[in-house]
This record gives sequence, structure tokens and C-alpha cells, in this order.
Amino acid sequence: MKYLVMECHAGYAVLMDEASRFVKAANLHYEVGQTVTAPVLMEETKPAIRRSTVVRIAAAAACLVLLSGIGLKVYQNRRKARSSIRLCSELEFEMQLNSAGEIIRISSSTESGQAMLDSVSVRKKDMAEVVGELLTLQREQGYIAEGETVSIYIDSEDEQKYEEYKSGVETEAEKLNLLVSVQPPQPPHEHEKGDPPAEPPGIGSGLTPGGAEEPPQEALHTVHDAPEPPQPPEGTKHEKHITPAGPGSTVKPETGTAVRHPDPPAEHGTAPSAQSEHTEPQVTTETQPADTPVPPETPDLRGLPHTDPPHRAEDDTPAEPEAGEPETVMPPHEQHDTPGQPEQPALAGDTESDTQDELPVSDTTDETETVISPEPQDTPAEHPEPHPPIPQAAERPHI
Amino acid sequence: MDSAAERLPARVSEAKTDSKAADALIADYMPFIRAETARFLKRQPDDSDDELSIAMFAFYESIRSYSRLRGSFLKFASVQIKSRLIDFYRKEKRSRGQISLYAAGEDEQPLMDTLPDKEDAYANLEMREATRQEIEELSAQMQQFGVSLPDISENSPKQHRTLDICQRAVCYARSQPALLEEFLRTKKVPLQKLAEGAGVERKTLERHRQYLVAVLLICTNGYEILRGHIMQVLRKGEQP
Repeated sequence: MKYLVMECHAGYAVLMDEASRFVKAANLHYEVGQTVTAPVLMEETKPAIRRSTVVRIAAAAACLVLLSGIGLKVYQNRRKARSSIRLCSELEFEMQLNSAGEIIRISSSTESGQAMLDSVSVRKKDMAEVVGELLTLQREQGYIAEGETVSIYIDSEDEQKYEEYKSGVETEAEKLNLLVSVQPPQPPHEHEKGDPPAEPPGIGSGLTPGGAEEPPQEALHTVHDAPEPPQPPEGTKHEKHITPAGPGSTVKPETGTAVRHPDPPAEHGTAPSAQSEHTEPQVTTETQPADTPVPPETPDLRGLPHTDPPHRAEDDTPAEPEAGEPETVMPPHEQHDTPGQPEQPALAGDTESDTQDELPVSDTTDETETVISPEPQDTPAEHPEPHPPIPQAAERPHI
Repeated sequence: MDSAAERLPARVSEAKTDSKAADALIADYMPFIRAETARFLKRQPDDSDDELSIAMFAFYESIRSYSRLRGSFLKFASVQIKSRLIDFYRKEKRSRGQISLYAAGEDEQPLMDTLPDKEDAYANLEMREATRQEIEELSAQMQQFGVSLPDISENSPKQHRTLDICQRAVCYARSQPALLEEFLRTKKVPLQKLAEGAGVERKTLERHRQYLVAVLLICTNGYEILRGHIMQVLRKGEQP
């Protein structure tokens, strides 16, 4: 190939080949018009973008990972239960809400309740709306009579949320001509039932779909005020409503929840310690696993000296669980089976701590009910009012 | 010195697109280029040494391909110069052992003088002079169209397929004298007509507009020598 030198510069020369291409080459002392045959041609310059491209790709990948992580975190937060609402009627329902007030879980401890849930869609519905639907259905099916009082326990970390939920529920109940007794969850008392719950209180996992059968009807049917400590159905692990206990009432650990509401106000959302964000803490419900026989009275508190579930603040010493009510605190694992629910450590403060160690298990059904009130006289049947301090109990309307 | 070093990146950026700025930059950094060449040759280079020309060419290539991501320009240029000199050395190595025609013979006369001259040196010289004049005229006329030879070298098609498309358009223009007259009159390349007449994509012709200006000018009257140089291509394009 012959190249015609078209132009010469200091560092290069412009050549034209026989194919009419114009190229740059080293100026090896060329002259314009000269014909050369073996020039040193300029190489194609590759753009220096590789590094920047790699950097851009790495930056894009890092952003993607970051956004994914943030998105995952947000999703997890939205799926985390921050509040729980327990509807204590013949058919017990428990709802767990996230920080935005959306229902993330709903369950019932009874088969009928479960069946009712199947017919209700909670998707994209407000909590109050769902409560209204459930109450409506129960009324239509005869589980609730008009004018009856339904106990609803709301456990929320945020007092404002508590009030919001409370007003929502009360509004819905008003529309149905029902009365509701909205309270924060209370430590389980030994419930009046007398029959020791078969299953150990367990961790008070709320209503596990496990189908705990509802606690003794009479207890639960309470519907109105003071949720009796539900008798844990034998073998089922579910936590029913929470028996309000006096402040500081200890919840038997075995019952599953060491509700430790020292005072009603405190409970509102502030009694976190007592209950996990989830209502669990206090309810005693027998959380014992079904198969585990519930020791009648003797709380098997791991060494807990007393079983005084609700122990008041002043009552620093853990009350002896006379009926074997263990210390209030429901060991974490027993307390709830729902994720994210910290089990309540013992009741208010004092002994709970040690009670916590010992396990909640209230292997004895007794404990479930007993759990609430330290002294045996807490009528298991009624819902524990052993301690005066619990205002809610007091104000619980009796119909 | 510091100010010169600080301004160097800016000068390099300017020299990428401006041939005069590139020439000025090369002239200013000749000592650096000589030093790099001397490091390779292990002696001071002469102005007549091809290695020095290669080093200057490598310096120009460095200007064209430099970016701040590559670090210091002088270090980059030093590497480029060394690479080019090594390539040139390897290429020239093949011709080692051969005697230069200008080497003195037995009678202390250059060997070239003892060889029969097959070519007419004077004729070659005249031809070269005539070619130079045509090239100068062509450069002057291209300036009226707003293009220069360095620009055309940048705009010239690299791929064979693209070159073939442009050649077909040029051959079509040669077959249409009216089209060439319109081109000289309007100082604009009739891309649409060329694309339709040659049956090629207009977009390809648009991308190589400056190249088409140069080749179409060569195809007009007054550039016989240049036209003769690329006649093989033109004849090939004329063939059906």
C-alpha cells in the first residue's frame, strides 16, 4: 500500500492511502507530496472509560444494595408487631398491629373464631373496621347479645396509639349497640376458674391459631369486664385475654405472661416491661404445652420462692405463688409464641426478675390462673382483683 | 515551572482538538522528548534520528489518548514513548545486518552511487513538487468548506464497510457532473441526493461528511495527481 504525504506537522504527518483513507502517522522526515510505503501509523486510541465505567457500575451496585437493605428493613419494620388487641368474647380474637396501625396478624383461639376469620377479609382494612366486623358477625351468630359488654385489651407501646385504637373500637361498638371495656392488658390472675388449666401457661402467645380452645366459657364469656384469666384449655396454648391484675401483679410465668402492670396508667403502653409489645406479657393463660401436665398448685418456679403474680410495686418480694403461682414473669419463651413478643418479665419490677428466670411455665394449670394474684385468694374465677390497685379491674363494668 | 505543570492538563485538553496547539505543546516539550529518547538510545539523539521522530509521534499519541484518570501526563507520555521506541526497534531489527546504501564503499564513495539508477530522480522530484502544489491547493479549497486535513483524518471511515459506502457515494457523484457543480457552488455536500442515488444510508454519509468533502474535491477538475493516486478505488466503485 502506498501512502501519499498530504501534510506534515511536528509530531505527525497526514497520509492518504490508495483506498482514499486519510490517516496519521509518524513524521519520519517526510515531505508533502512524498510517497511512502511503510509508515508508522497511529494506533486507534481507546477511550479511557474503563475505569470510570467500573466505578460507575460499582457505585450503581452499591446503591442497589443499599436501597435493597433499606427496603428490607422497612419491610421488616412494617411486619413487626408493635401493638396487639385482644377481643375477649366468646370467640377470642387477637390482632397484632404494626407501627402504622395495620393488622399484620389476626388469629383466634377457637375453631369457631377461626372459621369466622376465614369469612372476614382484613386486607387493607382498618383495625376498628375489622373489630366492628367481628363484633357484627358474633352478634349475628349469637355469640354476643345486644347491649353486652365486650372486653377488649389493647397493648401498645405508644399511649397515643392506645387511645387511638381505643376510640376506634369504642366507636365501632357504639354503632352496634354494644358496650366495650377497653383496657390495657393485665397480668393474669389466677383465674377464677378453678380448674387448673391443663396446659401450662406457656409463653402467652396470644391466640395461637394452635387453637387453644377457649378458656372456660364462663371465664371468657365474661365478655364484660375483667377478663377472667382464661383457663387455658387443656393442651392448647393460646393466650386468652389478659386478666388484669393489680399493679405489680405478677403474672405467673407459667401462665405465660407476666403482666406487670403496676398501674393502669402505666400500662398504657408504658408497661412495656410487663408485657412485651405484644400483649403477651400479662396473660397468664396457661401456656403450658398441651401435653405438659399442669401441676396443680405448685408453681414450678424455678426456685422462685413465691408465686405472687401480681405483686405490687411495694410488694417487692415476689409473692409466693400460693397456688403455685409462679412469679409473675413469664419466661420469655413461654410467654408467647408469636414472634417479637418479648415475654414479660416478671411483674412490676421486683421479683419479676427472678421470676423471670424461672420459668414461666406454669406447668400447672393452676398457675395460669394463679398467676395473677399472688395470694391464693385471688379468685381465680373472677378476674383477679386481688390487688386493689388495679383500677381497671375495679372499673370493669359488671353487667 | 510549577505554573507550567499546572497548566499542562489544560494544554493537553486543548491540543486534543487543535492541531496548532498540539504542535506548540510538542515544541515546548521537545527537551522532555529528547530526554526520553536518550534514555532509550543511551545516547543523545540527532534531529535526523528516526527514533526522535518516533518519540515525538508517541508524544502526540499521548496527547490524543490522555485523560486525567490515567494520572500524570508526563508519566503517561514517558510510557507511551518507551513503548513506541521498543516497537520501532523490534521492527527495525529485522533489517539489521544490512548495509546502508549511504555507507561508504571501497573507494569511500556511497554505495548508492555505484548502483544503476533505475528511476529518474529529477522526474520524481518534479512529480513530488507538482503533487505538493495540488495538495496545497486542495488544502486551501477545503478551508472554504470549513475542513482541514487533520479533521479529515479523524473523520475518515475506519471500517471497510463504511469506506465502501462512502466510495459508492463518491462514484455516484462522479457520474453526475451536475451534482459536483452543485457541490462546488453551494459548498455543501448533497447528502440526500447522494444517499438516494447511491442507495446507501444517509446517516453513514452524514457521519463522514468532512471526508466526503475532501474526496469529492479531489474528483473535481485540477487534482489529477491526487485523483490518480486513488484511481484504483474510483475505478472499483465504477464497476457494476
